[in-house]
Amino acid sequence: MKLSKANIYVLIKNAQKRFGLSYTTASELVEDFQNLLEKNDLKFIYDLNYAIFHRRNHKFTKNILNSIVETYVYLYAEATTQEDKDTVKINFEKLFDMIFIERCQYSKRLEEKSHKTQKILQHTTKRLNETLETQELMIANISHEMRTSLNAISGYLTIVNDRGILQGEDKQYLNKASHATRTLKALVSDILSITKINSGQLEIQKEDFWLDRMLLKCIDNIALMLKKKPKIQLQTDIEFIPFMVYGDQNHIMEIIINILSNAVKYTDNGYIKLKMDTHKLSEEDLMVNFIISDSGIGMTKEQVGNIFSPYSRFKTERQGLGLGMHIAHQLAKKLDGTLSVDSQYQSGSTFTFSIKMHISKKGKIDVADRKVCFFCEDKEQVVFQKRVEFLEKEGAYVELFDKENEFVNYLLTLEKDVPDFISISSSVDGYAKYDALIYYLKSLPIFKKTTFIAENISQHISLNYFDEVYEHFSPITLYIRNEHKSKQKNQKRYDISILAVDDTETNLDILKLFIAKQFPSVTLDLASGGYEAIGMFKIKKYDMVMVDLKMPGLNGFEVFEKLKKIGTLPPVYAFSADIYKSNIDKIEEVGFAGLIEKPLQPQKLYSIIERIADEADY
Amino acid sequence: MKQIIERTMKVAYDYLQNFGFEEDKVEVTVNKGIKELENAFDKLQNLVENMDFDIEELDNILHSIKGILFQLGNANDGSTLDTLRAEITHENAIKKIEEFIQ
Repeated sequence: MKLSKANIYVLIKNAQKRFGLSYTTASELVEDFQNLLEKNDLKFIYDLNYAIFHRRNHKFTKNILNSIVETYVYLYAEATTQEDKDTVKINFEKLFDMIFIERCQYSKRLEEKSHKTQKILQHTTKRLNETLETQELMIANISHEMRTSLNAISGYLTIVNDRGILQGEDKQYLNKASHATRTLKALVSDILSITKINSGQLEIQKEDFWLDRMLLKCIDNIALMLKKKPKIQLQTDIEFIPFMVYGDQNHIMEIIINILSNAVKYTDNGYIKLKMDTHKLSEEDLMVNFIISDSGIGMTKEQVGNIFSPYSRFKTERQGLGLGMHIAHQLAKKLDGTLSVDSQYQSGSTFTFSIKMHISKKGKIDVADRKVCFFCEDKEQVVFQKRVEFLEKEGAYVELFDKENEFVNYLLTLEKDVPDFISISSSVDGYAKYDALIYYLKSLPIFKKTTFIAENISQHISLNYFDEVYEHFSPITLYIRNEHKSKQKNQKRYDISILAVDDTETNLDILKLFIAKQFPSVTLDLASGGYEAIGMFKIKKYDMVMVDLKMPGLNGFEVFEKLKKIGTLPPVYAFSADIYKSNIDKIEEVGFAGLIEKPLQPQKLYSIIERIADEADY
Repeated sequence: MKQIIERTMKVAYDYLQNFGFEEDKVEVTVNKGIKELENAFDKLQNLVENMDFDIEELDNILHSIKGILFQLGNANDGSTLDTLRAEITHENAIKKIEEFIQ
C-alpha cells in the first residue's frame, strides 16, 4: 500500500500532537512506518518496541496503543482497494504481534523462568540451611565432646598434681599440659557459645542478684591474670548503693569478664578502671552502665570498626583467637543491652556495656545495730571510709582502725559488744600474722559469732582461719542481715576418719566428692567389699563407718557383726537405697547408728558428720 | 537403655553442678559413673537375653543399677527400678525389665 501525501500529513500531525514530537522527528517516524507498509522494513516495529521497553511507562505504552488503533482505523478507512485494506490489516497484526503479543509471550516465559529460578533458589537455600544446621550441630557436638574430653584430661591432671608425686621437670611438664588444656577449653567454650548464640539456643536465665557482689566476682575472675601483670593498677568506682536486680547474672558476668580480660591482655602498665553507673528509670527499672577503661595499647579506627567481628585479633602475639569481644557483643544484643567502644591508638580503650534491669523487691538493706570493725593498714583508706559512711548511714555501728597496736589491743581486751564482722586489710606478712591471731580469738567463746574477713589480698597466701577471703574488697552487701550466712561450718577443721564400704565404685566416688567439698580435712577411706573393710578396720581407728547393706560376699549386716567382734565400734551407719520398713527395723535391731539413704542427702550426711566430730570433741 | 543413660548423664551433671562442684570434678565423676552404669546395664541385658540366671543374680544387678542411678541423682529411674525389683518374682517381671531397658 502506498500512502498519499494527505495520509502522510495526517499521520505526522497525529504523531506530533500525541507524543509532542518536532515536525522532523514525527516525519522520520512516519517515514519508517511508510517503509513498513511499503517495503516490509521492520525498523519501525523494533524502534517502537525499544521505546516501550526503554520508557517502562504504562501511560506511554497506552498512548502508543491508542495511536496504533487510531492509525489503523484511519488507514483502513482510507484504503480504496481490498488489497490495500489487507496490507493495512496484515501490517497492523504484525505490529501488534511483535509489540504486544511477543511481549506478553516473553513476559510469560520470563515469569516461568523466574518461577523456576525461585524454585531452584528456594531449594538451594533449603539445602544450604540444612547444611549450615548440620555443620552447626556438628560443631556443637564436636565442641561438646571435646569439652567433655578436655574436662576429663583436666580432671585427671588435677588429680596427678594433687598427689604431688611429680617433681622438677616432670611437674613443669604437668603444669604446661594443664595450661594448654585450659587454653583449649576456653577456645572450645567460645566456639560453643558462638554456636549457641547463632542457632538461637542461648537460654536467658534470670535470677535475683546483688550488683556489687556480681562485679566483685568478675574482679576475682581476673585476679590471677592481674597478678601476672603487677604494673597494672585496678581501680574501681563501684557505687556503694547495693541494688538487688533481676537479670541474667551469668551472661552479664561473661560480658564483663570478657571486657576485663581483654583490658588486662592489652595493657602492660598503667590502669584498668571498672565503673558502674546506675540510674533509676522508674520504681521498677534500673539502667546500669558498666564502664571499663584501660591505659593499654588502644586501637586504630580500623581495628575499632572490626572489634566485634569474629576472629578480630589484631596483635597475634597476644593469647586467644579474638572471639571474646564478638561473643560479648552478641550476648549484649541477646540481653537487649548495648556494648560500645571508644579507643585512642596507643592511649587506651573504654568499653561501655549498658543494660536495663528490673529492681528486685527482695533486696532490702538492713544493717541496723550491726557492729562492724575495720582494720586498714594505710591501704585504700578512701574505699574503707566510703564503706564506713554508708554503713553508719544505714544504722550500723562501725569502728575503723589504722594502727596495728591499737587494733590488736582492742581485740585482745574485748569483753562484750564483740563485732559481728571484723574486716582486715593488711600487708602480705600481716595477713599470716592475723590468721594466727584469729585462730586464738576463735578459741574464745565471745568471738563465736564473729565473721573474720580478709580483704584486698594482693598475693596468693594460704589463710586457714579467716571466714571470708577477698582478692579485692568484700561487697557491701556482705554486712546486710540475712544475706550473710552464719559462719560456714566447713571452715572448722574436722580431722576425723571415716570408712565407707560399697561394692559400687560410683557410689564411693560421689560420697567422696560430697564429703571432701564440705569437710576437706576429713580422711575418707574406701573399701569395695566386706572383707577389705574388715581388714582396714583392724589396722586403723575410725570415727565413723558407713556400710552398704547389699554387697556380694559379705552383706552389710554381716560386715557389721564381724566389726563388732573386732573391738569398740564407732557409729556405724547403714548406707542403702533399699528404704523398706523391714530393712529399717532390722537396721535398728542390730544396732546400726542410723541409715544414710541413697540418693545421698548431703545436708543430712553433713549434720551426721558434724555431730560425730563434735562428739569426738573436736 | 540408651535413653536412661542419657537421662542419667544430664541429671547427674545438673545435680552435681548445682551443688557447686567444679566442672572438672563433675566430668570425671559422671563419666566414671556412666561407664559403670553402662557395664551394669550390659550385664543386665545379657542376663535377660540368655534367660539363664537365678533371681538373686538378677536382683543383685538391679540393686547395683538402682544404687548408681540414685547416687547420680536420677531418683525417677532409680524408683522405677526399685518397683521392678519388688516385683521380681512376678510372672511378667522379665518383660517389664526388658521394656525398662529398651
